[in-house]
Amino acid sequence: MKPFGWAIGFILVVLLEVAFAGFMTVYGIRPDFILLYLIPFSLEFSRAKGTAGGFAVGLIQDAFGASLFGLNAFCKAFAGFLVHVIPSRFLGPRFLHAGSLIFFVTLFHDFFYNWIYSLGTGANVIFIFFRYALPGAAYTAMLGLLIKAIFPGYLRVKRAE
Amino acid sequence: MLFFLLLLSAFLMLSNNSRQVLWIRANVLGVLGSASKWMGVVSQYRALKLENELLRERLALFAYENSLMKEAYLENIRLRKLLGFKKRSPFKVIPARILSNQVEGFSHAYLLDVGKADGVRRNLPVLSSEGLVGKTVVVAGGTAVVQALDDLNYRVAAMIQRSRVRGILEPTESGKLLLKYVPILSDVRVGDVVITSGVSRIYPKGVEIGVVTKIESPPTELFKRIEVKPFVDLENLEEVFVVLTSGKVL
Repeated sequence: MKPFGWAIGFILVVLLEVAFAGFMTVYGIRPDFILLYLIPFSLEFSRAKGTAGGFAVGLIQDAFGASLFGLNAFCKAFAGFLVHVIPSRFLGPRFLHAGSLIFFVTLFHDFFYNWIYSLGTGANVIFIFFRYALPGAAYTAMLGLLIKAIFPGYLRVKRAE
Repeated sequence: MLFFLLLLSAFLMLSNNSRQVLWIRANVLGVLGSASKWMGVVSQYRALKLENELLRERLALFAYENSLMKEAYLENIRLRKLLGFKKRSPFKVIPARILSNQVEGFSHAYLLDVGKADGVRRNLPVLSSEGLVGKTVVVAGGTAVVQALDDLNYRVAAMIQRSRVRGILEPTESGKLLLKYVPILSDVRVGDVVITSGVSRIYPKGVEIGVVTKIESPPTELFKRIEVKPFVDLENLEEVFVVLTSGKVL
């Protein structure tokens, strides 16, 4: 897909997240459609473009939320970067690579997002990890695997660098 | 690249209340908010149909309740006159539909279908018929983002309606609401209603927030630990009201 197509896709996926992710929220945990789109984008292009793409889409997402403006940009830029630096040996067997990659990237993203947002409130990092980061990562990874099962071309883990 | 972008994000986070950042935020929301409105309408069609039937049933009930309330209102006016109370203006509110409910970890926000064009500004209280919902944080032309009462960074000056004991209402990481900084010897009971105290530029005095469900008074602490259950079901809200006249109205 051409960069322009990806850019339009980013805007659509933010709107999708804003309009529909709320319906899929279970006990305060929701899947991150934007990460499910950002990860293949980052894989398709380079580490730098993945980081920049994450920053841009995060900034758009920030406009819709009540959290700190720039927080999603920060975490998604990091997520776009992370796609390229998680060693393959951490991703487990080959058939699990896609799911593991989504899981780890979302885990880092959700943990940093909630940790930074809760700074100064006395929130416990272990609580953040087990209550939000871990279930959020599992939920998003499962959804990613479901998408892959329906569209086998989605998320071919083949690093660009 | 990563370092530069992280630095830029950190700079944006630190200047969240600057006019430039608010301007950027409102404009991004303005452009994409309209598109989101249409997507919201599609997803809400079925819900609206069911809701319409329900509302028709409830209308009959409310008509009866309304007549009772009119009586109470007239009685209130008479009593106020008798007591020499200064007549205070009622709220000026506008109804708004929730386009999306955005829970993202500790952050909880709603996207409303009203904005600057409807007279909505930043930092206006948002209520439902049950009580306080939150406040507006970003406002664009036709949409606005509301920070919900259970967002981890939300604070509101509150008090116990019965005993007028004041405190600050804060959500905790586990999603509970705590009335903090209430001295250990204060008169608070389970079942007491918590309202806004009016010690704020945003919230009018007397808006109902919730009810006290649990009180702990550790002997080594200076303050009580008071848990409050909000009157509003924050997960299943569909319509709210934005109070256009903020300040000490009640």
